[in-house]
Amino acid sequence: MPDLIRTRSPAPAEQALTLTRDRTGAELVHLAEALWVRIIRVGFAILIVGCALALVLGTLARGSPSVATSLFVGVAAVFGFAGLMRSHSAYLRLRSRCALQIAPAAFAALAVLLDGPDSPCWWIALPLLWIGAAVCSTMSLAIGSAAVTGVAFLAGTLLGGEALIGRQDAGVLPAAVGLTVYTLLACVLIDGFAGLVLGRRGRGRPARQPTQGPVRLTNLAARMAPATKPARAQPATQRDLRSPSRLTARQLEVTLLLHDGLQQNEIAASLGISLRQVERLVAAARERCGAATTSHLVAMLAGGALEGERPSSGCAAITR
Amino acid sequence: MAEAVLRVGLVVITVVAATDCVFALVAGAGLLAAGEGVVLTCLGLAAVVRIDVTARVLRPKGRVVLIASLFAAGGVLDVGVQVHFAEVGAAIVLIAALICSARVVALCFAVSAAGFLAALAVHGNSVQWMVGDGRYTVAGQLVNLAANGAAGLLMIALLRAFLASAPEKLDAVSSGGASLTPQLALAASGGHMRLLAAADPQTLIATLTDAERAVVRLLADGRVPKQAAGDLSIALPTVRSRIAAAKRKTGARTLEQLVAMYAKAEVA
Repeated sequence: MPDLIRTRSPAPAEQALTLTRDRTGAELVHLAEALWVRIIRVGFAILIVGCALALVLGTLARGSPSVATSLFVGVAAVFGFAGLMRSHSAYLRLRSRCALQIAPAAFAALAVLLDGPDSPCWWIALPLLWIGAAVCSTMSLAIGSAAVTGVAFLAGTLLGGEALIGRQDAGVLPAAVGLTVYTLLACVLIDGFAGLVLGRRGRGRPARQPTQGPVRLTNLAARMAPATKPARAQPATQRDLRSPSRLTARQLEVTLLLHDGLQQNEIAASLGISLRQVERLVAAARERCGAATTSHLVAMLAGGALEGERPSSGCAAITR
Repeated sequence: MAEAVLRVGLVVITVVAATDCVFALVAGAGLLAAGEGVVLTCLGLAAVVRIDVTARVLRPKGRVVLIASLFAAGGVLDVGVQVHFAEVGAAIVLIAALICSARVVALCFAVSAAGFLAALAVHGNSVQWMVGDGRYTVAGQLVNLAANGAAGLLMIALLRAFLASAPEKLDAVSSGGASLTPQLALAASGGHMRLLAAADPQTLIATLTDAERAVVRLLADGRVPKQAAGDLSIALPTVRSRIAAAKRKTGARTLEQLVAMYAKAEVA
């Protein structure tokens, strides 16, 4: 039987690995920023399409678009066109403060709340949440904003005097949950792509085998366990390293710039964000990796202990 | 990366199946719909927990089409599968778009759409459809399927195109060309940074004395200077002066950069 189905070549991951080898952190961060700008440009394009959909579907559902629908869609369309023309400026502006990072989601929540039951503004809320996912420093911020928007969508339906569910019909509930689920998916994919570009995949090194010299193993259970299953990491002591943890792309950005020798205020200026955000990202990265200090975190990055994959056998981490 | 994407996609399918199951129950769709939702949720959970088995099963990528076909067939047999869990079908198409070729995605879409239309043809008159008139709902579901596939393919195409053009961008930054952010360009193309990046860390660390190396090693292990002083039984100002000397010899701007050089030299 002829093989009609061609497998997709694993080119992006290997391509990224080749690209990021022997590059400074600042170069990779610059590249990641270009990717984020491109992603947000696509988000603005989808927002414009969403504005058209909201008007068309609103007309189909209600006979004619309401004043509220027209107003919100109009503002979103202006924002979409402006963002499309000046994507980089929009990205830097939205990134600069936490309040601005959640501004698209706040506008989306307001739109679906005030536009009445089963609001057609759902079609602009979704791309606005995606734009928020591309600029938010943390995933929890993006998903939290999406959850609030979902609740606002339900509240708008209730305030409009309609029931949330019908006879044998889940009504607007799937649409409300869909906002959060799609935002979660967008966050994970954007983080994955940016992590590829930042060289997250290539940050690991093979664990040194126990027989290869005078090393002190921090994960004794892994050393003694048979090599059939991945070893479970032991709880970290002060000097031990936790099992390799996966930094988010935003955390990896900041860590790479620290590795390059930038100070935190320089990192904030380079990324166009506040010093407070940098401090929070560094603290979150340290907590994720179990690093006692920022120097420890950077040493883990340089020493290749930040690989995301679980060790197949042997040690979770090694220290001399 | 394919496995990571597959894991995310399976989590999405599981969450969608579980929430759709709850919605079906809340809407009074009956125990059969709830049972179908439970089965789909359990399958999704099992697939996530045993991702190694799932990846092996899906390795011949055409099997994603098989899964889409099974889901569509289930919908024809019991239209509740299509009505209440239509988003699961859309998620299957999205996963296919992220890990398979465009041809497989098109097959998944065709199978899912055919299943949906067949379910409509067989059971159309006896079903209370979702909000909106019947034609809008059918069109909406077909648009949903197509949109999920198109979104997945678009994202992968975006990444591939970006990576293909990335070397030129990197070279432009390295040579001090136009940059998105001036400060970042300065950091990337500054002579100091490039010089250190090009230097062999082992050579730089070899210039340190044993005492300086001991202090740097403790800092790399997560000790703060005060703790390092205690460990080495020396005064804190002595630790600080050794750090300053190490930074001077290696050219490191910050303590973190010094520690990074040491860690790289250790691994090399």
